[in-house]
Amino acid sequence: MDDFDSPDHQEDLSKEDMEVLQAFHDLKESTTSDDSFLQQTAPEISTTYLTNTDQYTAFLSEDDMLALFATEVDEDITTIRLAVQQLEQANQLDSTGLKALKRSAHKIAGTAAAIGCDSMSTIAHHIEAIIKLVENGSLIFQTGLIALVNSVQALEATLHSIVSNGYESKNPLLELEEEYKRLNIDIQVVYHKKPPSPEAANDSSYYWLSQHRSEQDQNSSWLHVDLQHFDKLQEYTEKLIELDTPMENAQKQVETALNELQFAQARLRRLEPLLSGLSISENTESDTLIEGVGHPPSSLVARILQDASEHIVNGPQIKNLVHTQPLLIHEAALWDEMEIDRFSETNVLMHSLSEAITDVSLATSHLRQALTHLKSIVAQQVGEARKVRSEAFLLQSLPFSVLVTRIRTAIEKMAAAQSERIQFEVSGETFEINQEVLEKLTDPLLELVQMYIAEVLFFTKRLEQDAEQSHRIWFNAHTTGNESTIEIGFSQEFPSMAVALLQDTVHRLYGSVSLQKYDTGKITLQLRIPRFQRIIQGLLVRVESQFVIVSVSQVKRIHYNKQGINGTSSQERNSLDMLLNDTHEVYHLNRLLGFHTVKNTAEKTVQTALMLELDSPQIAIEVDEVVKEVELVMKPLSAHLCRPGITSTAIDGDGNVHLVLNLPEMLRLKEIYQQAGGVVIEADSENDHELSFPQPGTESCRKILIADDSMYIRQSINKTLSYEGYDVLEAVDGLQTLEQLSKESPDLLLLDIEMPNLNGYDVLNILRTHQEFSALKIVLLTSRSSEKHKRRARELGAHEYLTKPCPQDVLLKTVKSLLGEEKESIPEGEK
Amino acid sequence: MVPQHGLSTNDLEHMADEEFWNYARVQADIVPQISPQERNYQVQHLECELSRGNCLIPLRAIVEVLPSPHQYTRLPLIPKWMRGLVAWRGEAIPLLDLDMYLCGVSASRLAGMLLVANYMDITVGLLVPGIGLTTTVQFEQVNPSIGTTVSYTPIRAGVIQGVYAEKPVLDVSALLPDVIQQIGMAAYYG
Repeated sequence: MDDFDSPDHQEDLSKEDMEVLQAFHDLKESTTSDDSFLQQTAPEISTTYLTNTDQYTAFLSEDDMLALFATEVDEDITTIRLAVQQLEQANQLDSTGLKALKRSAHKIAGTAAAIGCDSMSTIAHHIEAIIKLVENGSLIFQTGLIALVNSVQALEATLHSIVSNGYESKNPLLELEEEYKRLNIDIQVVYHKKPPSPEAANDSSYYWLSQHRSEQDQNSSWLHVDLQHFDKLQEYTEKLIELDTPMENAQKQVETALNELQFAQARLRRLEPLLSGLSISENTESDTLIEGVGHPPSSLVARILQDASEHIVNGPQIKNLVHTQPLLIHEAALWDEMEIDRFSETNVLMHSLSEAITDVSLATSHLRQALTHLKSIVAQQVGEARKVRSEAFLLQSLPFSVLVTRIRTAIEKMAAAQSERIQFEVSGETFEINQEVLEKLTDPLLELVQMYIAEVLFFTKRLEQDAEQSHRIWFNAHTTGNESTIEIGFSQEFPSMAVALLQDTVHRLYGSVSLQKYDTGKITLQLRIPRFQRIIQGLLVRVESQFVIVSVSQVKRIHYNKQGINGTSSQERNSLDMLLNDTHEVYHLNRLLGFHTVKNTAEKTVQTALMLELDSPQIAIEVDEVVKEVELVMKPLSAHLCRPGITSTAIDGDGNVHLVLNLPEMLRLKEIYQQAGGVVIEADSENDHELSFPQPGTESCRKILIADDSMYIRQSINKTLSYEGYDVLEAVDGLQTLEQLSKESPDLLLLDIEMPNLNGYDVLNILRTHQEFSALKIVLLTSRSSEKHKRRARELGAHEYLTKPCPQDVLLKTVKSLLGEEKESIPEGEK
Repeated sequence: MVPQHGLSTNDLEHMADEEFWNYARVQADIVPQISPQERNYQVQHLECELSRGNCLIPLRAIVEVLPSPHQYTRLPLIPKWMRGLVAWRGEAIPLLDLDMYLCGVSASRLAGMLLVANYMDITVGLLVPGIGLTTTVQFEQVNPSIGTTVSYTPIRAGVIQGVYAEKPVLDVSALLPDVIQQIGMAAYYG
């Protein structure tokens, strides 16, 4: 239940507003059922907690808590039942229904475990497991549906036993597990994380964007294939195969040429010692050799002989040798091979040498030709391979319209429910975007749009003249080079916090989000995402001794001062600087990266700069050198290594790690940071980072915020903490958590992972981008107990991780320890 | 007669005192069956040279020992004990100066050895001035109190399991998560 239901809010709203709120609330929750037996058995409890939560909390008895638990579980069971009914009607997987199912089942599992109702918790876990089996294709949809119906009945029976008898009956669970066996469902498969069998996967249908694929299913072979792209792929593959023969021929040519070269080299080697012996025998003989035969018109031989001479003669004699060369070469040209008697053995030797040199030259020439040919073939093959790869990637593409349809439906549903006029405009629907990108963007974009509509409907003080004004949302997609760009516009501003939702997803896709606000109130978001995931076409840029990669599509042009500082005239330098300074904001990349500061830029001429692909302002990023263009595979950075503006790394053939930069994102963050009055902390700062963490306040009454969608969990913890003298606040979902954090500035946050409207991870992600929450202590309190979750929470900045059900003493010990009220550490085994 | 198998609470309640304590002694003597090989493996430690004396790192946490890398890639907003990133088996991993992390003193440039350590999917490169021999550490002889014999930065006490033969024994299960958390936090708080 959220705070729209509180009496304070209701008094401030008009009747019309209340209707709107109710409609939205119904749309969001859609859980109320008239035939709920608990509504008949415990109506007073439900009413009480809806109307006066805070006062009620402090005086709850054990029985009250049990009734509260029963009421809440009953609501969740109703949600599950309705979702199952929807699935039955639709006769196919529906992501919205499944989401509600999963969320409610997970909530019951956690809450029931907390209160000690293990059977109920197990049944809820089984429901989660059944959904997973259906999703990954290990279980046929219809069988899964029967299992779900049985599970709901088991849940209801278990709850009934609690309400009627005051204790939990295990029979419904045992009967349910028997039913699973009868249906041939191996529920343990999910718990043991076995991948689905290929046969089972083949039986399932593929629903794009209709489900979240599990981790095992990420590499599924199911893809939508466009016939046109497939034909091209086939054509290019055939070309690749055709290139095999020319490749083999080219290789043979190179081998032949190499053999020739080796033979010629062997001849040269045989001649070398003889020549050396002759050269060092005596100076006069050497002179005769040179004078009698002269050098063949080869600079190589001339150099060999000259080197040999240099070892045996002194300076002046070398000069004489050089002076005589033109004449000797002329004599050599007149030499008659048939008059062999006239020439000594040395002359013959030199002739052989000349021939050998010619052979080597010829072989080298052949080899060079062969190499050129080979290079050409290889280049062709690489070109074809790239085409094949591109087409393969395109096989994974889908038109933007697929995503647009989902968003349009969501908008229409919400807007219709609220009788609001919301215009939705789209351009570039036919542009193809990587399926993985679209799939990952769907949920965050839907949430963004829903948040905007909610903002428009509920949080904005609408003026009289605005009442008639419709709101606009527009999407525009296009592709530039290796980058897909999606522009999303809203006619009215709303909390930029919502954008943070997108950022994490987009960053994981190696992209960036730029936010542009206009005076008219409208805002646009520009999502830039590489067209081909995992491969970057970028510029290898040097800043001091560090090399980084900047995406080509982010750079409009490269500004070079070709002659450099020393080689440029002062007039040229001035005009160059004026060009940059008048029209551009100039940043040095080293400084943007937060590395060692460069010299005073006022005294330095910009030599090389990257002009960014941004409309306004014109920005130039000064670098030391643009080395070359590269195409490398991107490696995502672990969460703890992520830094503003650095999207990933790429490792080159020499094993060097290069940071892949997102310059627009880096600039945007720098601007935000500067506006907030922050000081850029450099990497080699002498500050000890651990010691510089902000310390919590020292007020005697510390505020603690509990964020959990389970009313029972919230009340239970509230009771424990209130008793210890803490000022306790509550939030039912992620959005309310953020609101409470902004308004109340608590000292500690107890955060659940599975929550509606931003889960715990989303909240952590947002908090880490806001410096004002740096002193906040965060404890994850969740039923997720796997190391994967613990690690992720740690990486996202959670200070502690507790698993539900958490003993009271452990919870208190953790809270006190984090708030500096208890020096003892928490026993490792209890975490 | 002493029962050989686990008993219910009811059975235990009906036992005579002597019978109960005999049963308890038998149960206490049952130790987990660990092969001698496994036992040795668990206690093998590698001795690493640091500026303030040597320390011991569990060998099972060391995936590879390599010469110190010639170069590394700097990353912004990192703790001063992190040098940057290096490539290891096709992935970029953080390169840590263990001397700086533990003692607050920087190791001499990049000379030394690179120990690639792994714990629960966390992989980091630990730069140490040098390594020594492997030592078999008897866990019962590890003194959990660090005391004054080890002069490490107080904030690092949590990553030291205890002292063995006057050498601190590092607890990798605490060290690596701490390192990861500190690196992550540095991105936001400097």
